[in-house]
Amino acid sequence: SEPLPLTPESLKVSINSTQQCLHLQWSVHSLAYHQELKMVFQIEISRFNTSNVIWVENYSTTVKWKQVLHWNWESELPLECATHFVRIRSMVDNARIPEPRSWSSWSSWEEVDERNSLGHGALFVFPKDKLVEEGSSVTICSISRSYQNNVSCLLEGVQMRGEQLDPNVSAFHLNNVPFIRETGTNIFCTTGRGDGTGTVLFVSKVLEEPRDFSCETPDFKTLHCTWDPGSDTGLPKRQPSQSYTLFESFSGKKILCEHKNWCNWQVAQDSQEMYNFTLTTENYLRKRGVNILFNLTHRVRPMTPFNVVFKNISDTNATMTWQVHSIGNYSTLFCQIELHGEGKVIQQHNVSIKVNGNYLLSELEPDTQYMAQVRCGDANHFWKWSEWIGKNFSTLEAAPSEA
Amino acid sequence: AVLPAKPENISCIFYYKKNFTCTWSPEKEANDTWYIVKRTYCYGRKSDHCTTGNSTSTNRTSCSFYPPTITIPDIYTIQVEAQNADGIIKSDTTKWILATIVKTEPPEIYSVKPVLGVKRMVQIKWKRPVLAPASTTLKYMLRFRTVNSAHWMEINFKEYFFGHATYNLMGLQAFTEYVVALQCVAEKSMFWSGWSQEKMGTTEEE
Amino acid sequence: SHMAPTNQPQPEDIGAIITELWNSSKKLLEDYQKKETGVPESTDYSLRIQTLLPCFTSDSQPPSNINSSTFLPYFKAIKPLLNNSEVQEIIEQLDKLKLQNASETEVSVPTDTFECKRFILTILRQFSECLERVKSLNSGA
Repeated sequence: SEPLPLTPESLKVSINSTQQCLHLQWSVHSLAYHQELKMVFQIEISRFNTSNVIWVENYSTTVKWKQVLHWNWESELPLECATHFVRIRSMVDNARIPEPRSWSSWSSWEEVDERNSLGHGALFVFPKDKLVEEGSSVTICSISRSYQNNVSCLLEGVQMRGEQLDPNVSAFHLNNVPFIRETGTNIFCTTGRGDGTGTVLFVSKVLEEPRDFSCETPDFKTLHCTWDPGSDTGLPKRQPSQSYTLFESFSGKKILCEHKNWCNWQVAQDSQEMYNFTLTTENYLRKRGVNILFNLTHRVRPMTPFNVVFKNISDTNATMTWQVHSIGNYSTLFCQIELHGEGKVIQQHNVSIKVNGNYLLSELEPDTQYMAQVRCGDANHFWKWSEWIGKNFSTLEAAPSEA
Repeated sequence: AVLPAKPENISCIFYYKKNFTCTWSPEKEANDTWYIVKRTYCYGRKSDHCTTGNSTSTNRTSCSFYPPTITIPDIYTIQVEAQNADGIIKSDTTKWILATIVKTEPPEIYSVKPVLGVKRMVQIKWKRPVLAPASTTLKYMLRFRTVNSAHWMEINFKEYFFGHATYNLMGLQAFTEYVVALQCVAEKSMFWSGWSQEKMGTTEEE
Repeated sequence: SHMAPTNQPQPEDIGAIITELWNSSKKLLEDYQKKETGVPESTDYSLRIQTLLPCFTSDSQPPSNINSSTFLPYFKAIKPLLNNSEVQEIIEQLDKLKLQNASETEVSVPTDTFECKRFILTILRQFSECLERVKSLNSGA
């Protein structure tokens, strides 16, 4: 009989074995030129035979004239291990049409079978070299050519308990798979008659969100961003180490970082003061990001002071001088001086400076060796100290007292 | 033109599985002189070279070759070329039999204990150095002293079979604590290993 | 010229090379077995290596010597697959034993990852067993 109107037609099903995905495409021919209809499509998937329905799903969408519709389904069982059958029907999802609305008739079953492409061999194991994340669930399946084989499969040499799906096919469900080694987890199946075959499951560590993401500038020209990347999820020849990109939303600029735990960002001359950075890390299986918003002037970490010199050294005093790298025109630095004697901090002083620093160290002991060190921070908006720089010096012997 | 001095007194040592290092004189050469050390190995079937920098790198009259191309047994030839802007001066070609210049890691003593019922003796057990050639017999030097003496006594002995690593030290004083240390050398080599860590053990009561 | 006078190891050196190879091959096999649990050897590759490729040379004079050109191409094929400097050291030792004009066969590695691991394990096992035999022949000689 004439198919009811709006029946899904030209159903085509293709397979992506690596992704373990069925890809459906169809269209609704009897739609008028200008018509746009909200419809529900019901998809049934069977395995091994049409009566063994394993999946039913409704897919709602708006359909236009001559539109080709697409839908994907990921199978937990490797597609090589079973023949799959797919059919579809539709219903108009329109408030103006009174309930109960009726489904169209089913399309005919579309069969997809990867097993005739298996080639010769007594036993096969799938999936081949699958990449998964640590902690995920995976189904391994074996296909043996003849019925009588009692197939046994071992995970890292330990027997797995399987489920017989059909006389030739066994399935082994692995939950919460651990990371064992970079060269993959070993799965081997035998028919008990000596011949056997195997596969490798590549388990990648879970991509972690970067921790302690922060940026600072020594000179308002470069921003130095650092973070803790956590585990490296790279697997030789299977998955490169995760990548890191820096995106700044105000300027819209993005750079790919060469290092896995730091990255330099060039500060444009006339650039803004506020920065909104997103650090994104990505591998084949996952993508994660962290975000920070800050004012550049609040993230100054001066470079280490240099050229420490001691002048006018007497028996009880010494003037310590040092130089600093210029930061910006109006920057004032706040410097901390520590005097060490016999391995202990015996004096601590603070001083604000604009260009170069000097400080009079007094109340020293004659003829004594000291070490003095200095570090600086931004006085306007303190963020972090620079590194210390220090030097040894000795006071003079006491002058002979007046006879 | 001032050509560099001819490299002489070439001396090489093979730190097993670590590096093969040659040094030569004159140590003090002008800063603008650099050296190329040409090596043949694999019994002369292969050749390569290493170069010393002419900058201020500390030991400029030393050069090393690294695994995996340093394996024993083998016969090397080494020739050192000194170069500066004015020209090249070559050393004589020297020949090196690796087994004679190999230096191994020290052994590791793990037990110095008396044997039940055997007076005035301790049995010393150690691990053959992993970094020692399997193909050469090792000679050992054992030194021992009582804990309160500064005077070391020494004994030499040889590995009877690969991995043999036990020695019964006899003729000791009863109920006395001894300090023991061990070093080894590949049978044909001139370079002894360093000393092992010292280990203590006490002989049985009389 | 710069090349050394002799490029054929003496009998005593051959014995030493065999001992070093025996030590390295044992360690390499043990390390691989420990690392790759659950990978069985492949009977196909074992038979292919045993039947087609002799373990040691047939010259009558001791010390018996391993047939370097049997295993050299296999080790060169598996070297990029193993992150282990011991493999290159084995190649260096085999180069010393190689007859000057020996031709070298091309070895292809299985593309299937699991089969590749079986292939590697089989070579390491065959090589280690071969050296065990040659070493015992020489220590008996």
